[in-house]
Amino acid sequence: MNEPLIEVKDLRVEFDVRAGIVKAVDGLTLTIQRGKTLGVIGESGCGKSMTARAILNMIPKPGKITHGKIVYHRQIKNNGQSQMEDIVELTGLDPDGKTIREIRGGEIGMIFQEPMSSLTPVYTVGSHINEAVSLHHLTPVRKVGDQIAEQVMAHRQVTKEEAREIAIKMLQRVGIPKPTERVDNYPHQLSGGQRQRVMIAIALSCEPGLLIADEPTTALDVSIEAQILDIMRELQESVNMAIMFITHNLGVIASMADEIVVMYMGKAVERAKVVDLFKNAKHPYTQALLKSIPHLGKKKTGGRLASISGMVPDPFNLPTGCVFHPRCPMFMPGKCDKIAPSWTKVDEEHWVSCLLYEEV
Amino acid sequence: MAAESQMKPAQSKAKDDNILLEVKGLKKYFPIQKGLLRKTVGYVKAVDDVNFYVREGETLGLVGESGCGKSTAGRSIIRLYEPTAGEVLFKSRALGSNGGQKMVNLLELSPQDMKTVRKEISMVFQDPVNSLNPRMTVSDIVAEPLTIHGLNLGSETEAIVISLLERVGLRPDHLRRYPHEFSGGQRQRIGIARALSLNPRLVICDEPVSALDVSIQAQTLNLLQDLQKDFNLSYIFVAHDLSVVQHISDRVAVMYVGKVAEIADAEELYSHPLHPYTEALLSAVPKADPLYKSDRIVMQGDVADPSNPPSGCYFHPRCRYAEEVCKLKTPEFRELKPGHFVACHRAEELTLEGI
Repeated sequence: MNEPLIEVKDLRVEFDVRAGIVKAVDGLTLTIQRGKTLGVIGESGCGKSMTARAILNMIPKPGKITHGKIVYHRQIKNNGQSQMEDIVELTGLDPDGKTIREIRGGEIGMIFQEPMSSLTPVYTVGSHINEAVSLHHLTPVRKVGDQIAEQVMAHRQVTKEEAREIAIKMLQRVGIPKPTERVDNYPHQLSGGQRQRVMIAIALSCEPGLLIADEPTTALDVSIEAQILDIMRELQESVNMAIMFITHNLGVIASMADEIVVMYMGKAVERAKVVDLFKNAKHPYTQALLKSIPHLGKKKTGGRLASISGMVPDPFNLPTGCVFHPRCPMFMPGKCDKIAPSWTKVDEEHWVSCLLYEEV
Repeated sequence: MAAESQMKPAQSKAKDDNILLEVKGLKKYFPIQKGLLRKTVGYVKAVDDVNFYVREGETLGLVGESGCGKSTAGRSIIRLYEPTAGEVLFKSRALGSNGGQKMVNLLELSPQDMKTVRKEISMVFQDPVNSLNPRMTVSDIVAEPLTIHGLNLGSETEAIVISLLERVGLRPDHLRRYPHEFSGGQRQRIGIARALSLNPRLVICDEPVSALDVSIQAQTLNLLQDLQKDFNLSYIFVAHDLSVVQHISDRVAVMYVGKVAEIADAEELYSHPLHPYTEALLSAVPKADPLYKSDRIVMQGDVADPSNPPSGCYFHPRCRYAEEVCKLKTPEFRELKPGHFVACHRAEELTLEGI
């Protein structure tokens, strides 16, 4: 049943900055299955967004992929029918080259968090950026319809008129009212929720095999968020699209993901099917995360939340052994601060990286 | 006598004399100006006839979607925005004579009196980066309110600041550092220490945990609860996250386009909502449980534009129970059950789902 689409193998992304080297992603391995949703959760700075960028070969400078592979099982379409499979190693591609440009946007769509300013620091440098920017930023001075149409024309053999038709169809599909009028609107004429829906329309206009959604609903209100998540689910079913869904919102991921990877300090600490992860979390970090959120509807019981003590460690001065040990309630002195845990299978399709489950 | 009863947090359900703050008919209209002469062509009714009260020692949650006026309401109370109309009654100790208390209307106070009352009401802001002056040390930031109110006592001030920092979980050696040296959660703690420096009775928290990661959010919420207990603080807790608001609030007010749709005790509101908007909002929140299957009510369209709201009940275009009357008449805000207020024409006849 499971058919891998993207395999990330022992990926390392490092930023060489003045104060030293920051390992944004440190030995990450994960697989995205065709037609399935992989949730990636973790707190800010855990490397979840960098992983997404690595897949698109869009690591901002001074970051670099220093180790590992990202294998993409590409389907070559012949006359609209998928035929052969071609294996592409994404990290080996020229970030400005023709192949990756075909893949980005065409075969792998992306949606990022709506406050676009949050992305800008990353895009002030680098030459390959312009294209990347035009792929996931709405240009304020151009009509939204034209922006969708352009995306379609860049990746499909269609005329301008056909592209416009597709744009209107996509706007309708993502639930924008009066699409024939909206197609001639500028982004500022739309509300935040509508702009995010346009971004989804752009990302999905080429029916990508994979959609990378990085905090796609974080800036939106719950009512709009519910609409957007519904649209994503519907489209996933209709075109058998895989989704890599990155978020820190455990509620959103519970309703979207098939499988979840939990990240901490650039590493995966646990990976499991969604129900397993929520009902039977093994890693103390995952357990703590799940306990630290207030649950809607649960009656108050004296009302304190379980919090994780301490803070995320200084990236230039990482703890020895397991990186989580200074904050871990299950800390075993002499073990966790000495030995780095390895990836251990605890159950069918359930892996964890913690010494509690290893015989050392 | 009066002082004694203040020591205990309010327990009774009915509106009583434990009221610390009462907001009546509060309005804040922002003019829309156009052209060279800045002619006013309309108003954004950010807060439009809002009524609520806060008891001593309790937390009132103010929830709603972006643009519903919850932050503006919070800020209008302490006149960070000058309200257009209404009354904000506050039981002030500082303005009372002989250690007693006096109910004053904040909107009618002289600048001098307002400054005095401001000692009793402080604010914690959402953005822990922009709400702290980057050029001031932690010590200066926390002591600034003392200085402004002429309470800076030189060497004693440092002792006060240190005890405040310790109370919020920071260390005395953080005193000489600058905000950029701290993480988001720590900065929020600095903001909280500053808010407490004048020994306030009411703290208006404007999305205090929205910018924080979940583990830090939990620490901060716990801290706010501990402080409330220790100092008998009242909170107005403005937030959009319904689960956070449920967790921290005794009572909750739901706002929609400048108006309060519903107010009730937190548990009552979440389990037995009376307003269709509350129901829809609750059902839209994603639950952190993959086995939870809800009949989610997907509200159509976007939040109404407060500069050009729909007729009648502002929620009617998105409401699945809307009838003719909802388009024509503004619903009255009324007490349907003791302590449970709602503004919906059909509240009596509808049976809505809670959580």
